Amino acid sequence: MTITSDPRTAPEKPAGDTVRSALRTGRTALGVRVGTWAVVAAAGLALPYMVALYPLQVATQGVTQGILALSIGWLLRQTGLLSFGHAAFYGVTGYVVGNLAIHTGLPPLPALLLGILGGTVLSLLFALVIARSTGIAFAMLSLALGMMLWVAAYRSRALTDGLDGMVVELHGDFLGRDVADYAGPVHAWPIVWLVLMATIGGLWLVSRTVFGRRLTAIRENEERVRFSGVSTVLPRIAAITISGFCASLAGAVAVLQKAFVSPDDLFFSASGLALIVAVIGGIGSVWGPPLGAIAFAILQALLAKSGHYQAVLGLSLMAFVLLAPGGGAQVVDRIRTAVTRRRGRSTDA
Amino acid sequence: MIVQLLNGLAFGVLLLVLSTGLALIFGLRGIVNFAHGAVYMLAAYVGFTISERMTYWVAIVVTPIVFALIGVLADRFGFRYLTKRGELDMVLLTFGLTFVLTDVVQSVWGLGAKTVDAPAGLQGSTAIGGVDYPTYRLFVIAIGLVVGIALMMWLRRSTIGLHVRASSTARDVAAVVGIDVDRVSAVVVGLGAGMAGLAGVLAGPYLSLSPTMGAEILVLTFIVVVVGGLGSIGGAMAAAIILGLLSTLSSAYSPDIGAYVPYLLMVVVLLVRPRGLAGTRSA
Repeated sequence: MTITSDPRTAPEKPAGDTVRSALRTGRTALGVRVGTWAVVAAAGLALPYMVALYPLQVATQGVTQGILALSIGWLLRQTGLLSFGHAAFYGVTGYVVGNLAIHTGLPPLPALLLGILGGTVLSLLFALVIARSTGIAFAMLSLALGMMLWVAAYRSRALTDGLDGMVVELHGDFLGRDVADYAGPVHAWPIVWLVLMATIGGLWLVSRTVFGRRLTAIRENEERVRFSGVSTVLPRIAAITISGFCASLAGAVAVLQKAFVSPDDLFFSASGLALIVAVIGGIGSVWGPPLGAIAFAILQALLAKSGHYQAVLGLSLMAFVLLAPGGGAQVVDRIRTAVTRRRGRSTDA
Repeated sequence: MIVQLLNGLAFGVLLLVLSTGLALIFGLRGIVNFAHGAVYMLAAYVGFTISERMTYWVAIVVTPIVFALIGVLADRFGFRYLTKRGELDMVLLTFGLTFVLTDVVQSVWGLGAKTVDAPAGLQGSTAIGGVDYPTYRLFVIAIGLVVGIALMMWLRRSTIGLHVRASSTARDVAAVVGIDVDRVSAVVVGLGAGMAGLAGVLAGPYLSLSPTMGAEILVLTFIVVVVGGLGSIGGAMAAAIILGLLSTLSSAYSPDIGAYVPYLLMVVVLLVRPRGLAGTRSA
């Protein structure tokens, strides 16, 4: 192996995944990425014309779950914080929308926006309490706070109708259509899809900013960042709130379709499920969590009769953590690297 | 009042048995076992079946032993090879196990709630301090306290207890001075799993069994471990009793407030003393 003095031409060392993925971000042209994103966004809109009603229903559920999974996966990738409490933001958004619809009769659009605001404010409050902790402590605390909201949801019957769940009766027009139309997947799909694509694009852009890079620096070595005179808690609070906002978006989209919210939506397995599909899809890429969620929705539809989807999901999570910690995205990546390497070798020869 | 105190104590020792197991495993392997609640739930259901087929006494002896053996095997053939993995990987791994175990419980025993009858000698109530109190709960308190004290003595007085404490404080140094850290870890993971098994069987006639019982108690166990201080066994024991008493007494006073007390306790402790009662690491 020759040693070159110029670091730019130095042979690629087998560094950790994070360094390599950071380098790769620079290499793929911005235009290609934006182009891919736009093509996928446009192509997705055509789905209702291509598939039958039931697959479309499954896809709509998968994509809704994908937004939640993305919010959790992005937080994990960007900050190293593993949250088991995101279902609380998702569920509280639904409850806020429901209460506004019943008690004030607000039209759908402002009710949904206020619901998202409610979920986001809640995530800010959570962040203020637990943003100082990291690692395992954060995982445990986010689980505890999330479950506190679950307790609150089934105990405050006046606001939530308790364990029975709450029917959210929105009335009026939403984006030029009666709000009841969105219960069917044909009209719900474009909204769900565009919200997902906007979230993917938005989070990707945030990751590229100085703020996003600072979050990564804090994740890698918090002490050093603190020594260099930068606060490490404030960026974490901001990151948790951004991710909570995305989880609230998922909650708003879900309540628009289902018109129903129950304490089950806040239970820790709801957060856990989204986390699992995010990890299986691969958190290294913003595309990973939504793809994992869609794959899970399809799997769930296939396994609906046997009912053992929990065991399948748990086992696949364990398998991925053991064999390919980067999830599906990493598997795709390995294949791509192998192909490029082979192609490089053949051009050398 | 005395009834409420005893209730709090009974719930407290149940949390104690569970959370010290969790804290021990964390101390030795650096693993926060998210499957601890699911293991406890599985043990409760296994205890239920053994009690139905044979007697409760067989269940309370056999179940913890079997779970401890499984724990030793899991450490010997699993965790030992995963020490280089990050702690979050282990969280995900044990969390995946939770889903698998929940699925097993739901498939074998169904979704409905189940109850276990207390064994013949422990049914009915006993007069204590001028009130009649369920005998079985006194039994739970006694077993819990005996287990807690025995564990403390074992950790403080025995050689292997010394090795456990040494490995938990500084794993590498312990290995350098000749402690077989892997063997100590296997013992401790087995002990932790066995204690989860014991807690599950104890909970049978005391609380009712349902597929969500694991998740609910897991959250309380985490609160205990965080309040007590991550990595501290004594802190976890004290926090378990405090949480049991506080939550039972406040529930008796007002159920609405009582449901939130564990969470409030956690938030207050974190804001005032982020290390927990006796912790050395910051939570």
